[in-house]
Amino acid sequence: MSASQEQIDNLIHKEYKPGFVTDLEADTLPPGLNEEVIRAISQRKNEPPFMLAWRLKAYEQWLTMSEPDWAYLDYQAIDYNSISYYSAPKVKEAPKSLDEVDPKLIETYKKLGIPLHEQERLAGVAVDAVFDSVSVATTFKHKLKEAGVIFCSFSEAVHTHPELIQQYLGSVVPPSDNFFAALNAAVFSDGSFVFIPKGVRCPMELSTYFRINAANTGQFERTLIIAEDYSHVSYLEGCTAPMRDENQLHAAVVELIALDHAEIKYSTVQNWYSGDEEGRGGIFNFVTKRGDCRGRHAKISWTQVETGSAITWKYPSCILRGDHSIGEFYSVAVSNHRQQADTGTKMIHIGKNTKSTIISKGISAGRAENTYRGQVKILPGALNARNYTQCDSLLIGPKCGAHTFPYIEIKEPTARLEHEATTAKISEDQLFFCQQRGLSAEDAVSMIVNGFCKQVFKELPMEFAVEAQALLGISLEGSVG
Amino acid sequence: MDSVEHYQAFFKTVEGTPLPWLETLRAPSRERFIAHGFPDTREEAWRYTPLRSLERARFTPSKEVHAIPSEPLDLDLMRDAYQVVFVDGHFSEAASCLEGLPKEVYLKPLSLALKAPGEHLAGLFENTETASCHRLEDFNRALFSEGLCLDIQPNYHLEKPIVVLHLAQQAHGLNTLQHRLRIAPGAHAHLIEVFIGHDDSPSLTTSMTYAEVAENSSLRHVKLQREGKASHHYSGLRLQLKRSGRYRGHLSSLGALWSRTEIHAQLGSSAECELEGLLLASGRQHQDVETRLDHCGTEALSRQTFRGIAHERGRGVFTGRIVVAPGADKTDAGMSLRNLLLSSEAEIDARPQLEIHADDVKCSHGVTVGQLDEEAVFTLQSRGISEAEARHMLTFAFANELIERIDPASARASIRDALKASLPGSDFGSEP
Repeated sequence: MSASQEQIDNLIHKEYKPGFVTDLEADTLPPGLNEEVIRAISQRKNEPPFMLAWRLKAYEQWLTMSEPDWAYLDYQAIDYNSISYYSAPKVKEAPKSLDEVDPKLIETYKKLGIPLHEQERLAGVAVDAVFDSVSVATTFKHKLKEAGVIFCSFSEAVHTHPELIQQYLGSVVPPSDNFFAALNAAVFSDGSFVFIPKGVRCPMELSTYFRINAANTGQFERTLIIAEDYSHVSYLEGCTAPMRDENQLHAAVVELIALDHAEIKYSTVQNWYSGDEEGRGGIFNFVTKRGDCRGRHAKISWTQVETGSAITWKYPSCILRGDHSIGEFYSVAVSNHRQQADTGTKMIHIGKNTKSTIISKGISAGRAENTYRGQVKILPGALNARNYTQCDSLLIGPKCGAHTFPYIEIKEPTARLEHEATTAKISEDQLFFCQQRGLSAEDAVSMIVNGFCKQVFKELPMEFAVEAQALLGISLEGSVG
Repeated sequence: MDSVEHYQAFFKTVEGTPLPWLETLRAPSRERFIAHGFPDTREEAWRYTPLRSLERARFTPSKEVHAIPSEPLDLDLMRDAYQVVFVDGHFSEAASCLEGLPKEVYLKPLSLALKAPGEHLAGLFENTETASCHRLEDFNRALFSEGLCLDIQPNYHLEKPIVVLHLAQQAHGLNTLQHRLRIAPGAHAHLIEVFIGHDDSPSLTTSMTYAEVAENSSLRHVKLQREGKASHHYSGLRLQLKRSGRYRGHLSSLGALWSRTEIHAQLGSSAECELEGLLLASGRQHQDVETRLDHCGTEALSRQTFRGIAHERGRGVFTGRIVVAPGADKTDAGMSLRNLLLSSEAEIDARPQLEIHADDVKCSHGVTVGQLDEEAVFTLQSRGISEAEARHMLTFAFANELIERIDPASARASIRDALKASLPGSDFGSEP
């Protein structure tokens, strides 16, 4: 299969398209982390005192915690004092509309393929773009306002809806949850805030675009989505970063709250810079994502396509508290070259008749390590709880690794659980069969890989599904030999 | 006095052996145990298995009693087999029977072998990893002074099984054994290990079995754990399967208050390893089984089939890891774990794990947790069988699928009886 090897090599050497740097004047705090830095962040954002107090408490907790080491990851220790915790594009005054946003920024987003103006008109997707640390512009605000939906940057919500922030912030992922969640709580600079009131079906898909631009900065955003009774929202998240030789830290927290009969669908396409072939540079992605089905018949669905980052440490979870609530996790994690991904989910069944589904597809190529780590916990009293888990791994090349570490804890005798996992490579038979019908080795591999991921891709909203398939191609093409 | 200090005092009783290789083996383990003590649940490997009750109880090494054990030892499975009996961790010559042992087979209790240590003995203990141990293995190694030594010459097929019976009688006794097996190329052996004890005398038995199965040789192994209801039990198997070596093992873990069984195997090229096991946790029992199969060579095959039953306040814990080393191509590894959870206070914890560093492999695992099929219960009831009896029948059938495959028939019958006696609603267990 030397012909395909060549093609694969071409693909491997394909450039990371979003890897450019935008030359912007930025207001950046000097590297280092201490109380002063946190006060400075809070002050720059002009936050009310309760936020500062919350941050400081989180910082205190963070100091007592140690970095988790249980994941199947191998990376150089992070020096938390060499990171700058705040970097914002310099603007004299807050922009009142898109026209006032720095044209250079708008240009950047155009390069990334998310022209805000066009999207406003054509795509019908409302985008909140987070550049380094601050939210740059939120499109479609007015149209959403009519529906009663609040979709704005986190720093704006702190001022306009402090009561909601106080009520819900940290109620799903408290700062004490884990090391990275505590760090995020202390220094988070911005993020998105979504509130869907009772009975409202959000008229369009909401979307956030994250981008790390400045060097030596970390990005710590925080997303909070609240769906009241009988409401529905679909939320998309995408990420990119420039190519740099140093590693950059991204430690985000996402909290979802679904009340009675509410449904939240959260989709992510993560394409942070993954480092070069030798593993230099790339984003360290340590993310805590958790959804809380507080109400009866609530539903939270996570869909993720993870193709980027040098290190991925991410376990979007669902707490199925409300009776009849549903949790779903669909994931495709691709790692190539020297990428390492340790990702999976947690499903905690508390309420009666709760249901969860986990479909995880891991693809490992080059010298990458890809780990599924998941937990299904069914507590006493979670009558008739039901879980179905399927984790499949595909190995491409002899030097990569694929690992599966599920944890199953069942304390309820009426619960039913099924768990399956398989690991295999693309079989010669499958390849031969396709080639026999006139497909090139390359096309055959791409077809088989896409088929492998189909169960997950079909869960993605249309515009993401297209992007995800293209990304998968870029990440893997040519890695079959 | 903490538990480490308590046991440290007994280390001296086995120290000072004139055999340097034995001391080389024991010393690092002894130091590690003194430094780290018993593992706790913060350690990943012990996450679901707390040792509080084991640590609190202070066991003392059992004294040697020369009288023939009071327990009737005429178990079915002892028939037509070589019999090695350990009473409270000491070899009982009176109860054992090694008559007619062929000259190709070296079979001796360790205590006797140590009196005349020859090349057989040293050979059995070489190739033992001393740099790291699996926690309680250290505890066992620091204290053992008895066990079974088996060395079979090349190409000899020992058809008659060897039954090793461990009987725990003394209350608060500590029984520490280490068995060493070497099956030379082309040879075959059949080992049946049985652990029994009194319900009213709590004791701790730790027993490690090290087996080296050479090229083209094979080992069959059955282990029945039926310790007393207040006992603690820890046993481990460390298995080395060389090229084309074959191992087939069955484990029934039915007894003891707290039990952990570790099975670690290294598979060379074209080796075959088949593990089957049954866990039954009732009352307040804690049953833990941990397996780790390292596929080191190419084209090796492994199959693991486990069934767990938890009822009343029992807790069943299963951890199974399959590791495929770089270059171990054409590995075919499968694991299946099915559990019945029968009561609202029972618990099942499972960790099936795959760690794969080669690409041309076929690996899979499957886990289910559920209840008896209510329709099957109903069908039986409609035939005039009481509900309790129906449930008993179905639970028994769930476990019996594995027992059916035990060889020889005498062991099968013994294990079936032991299972029937331990299942919920055992009053229905009589054979028609």
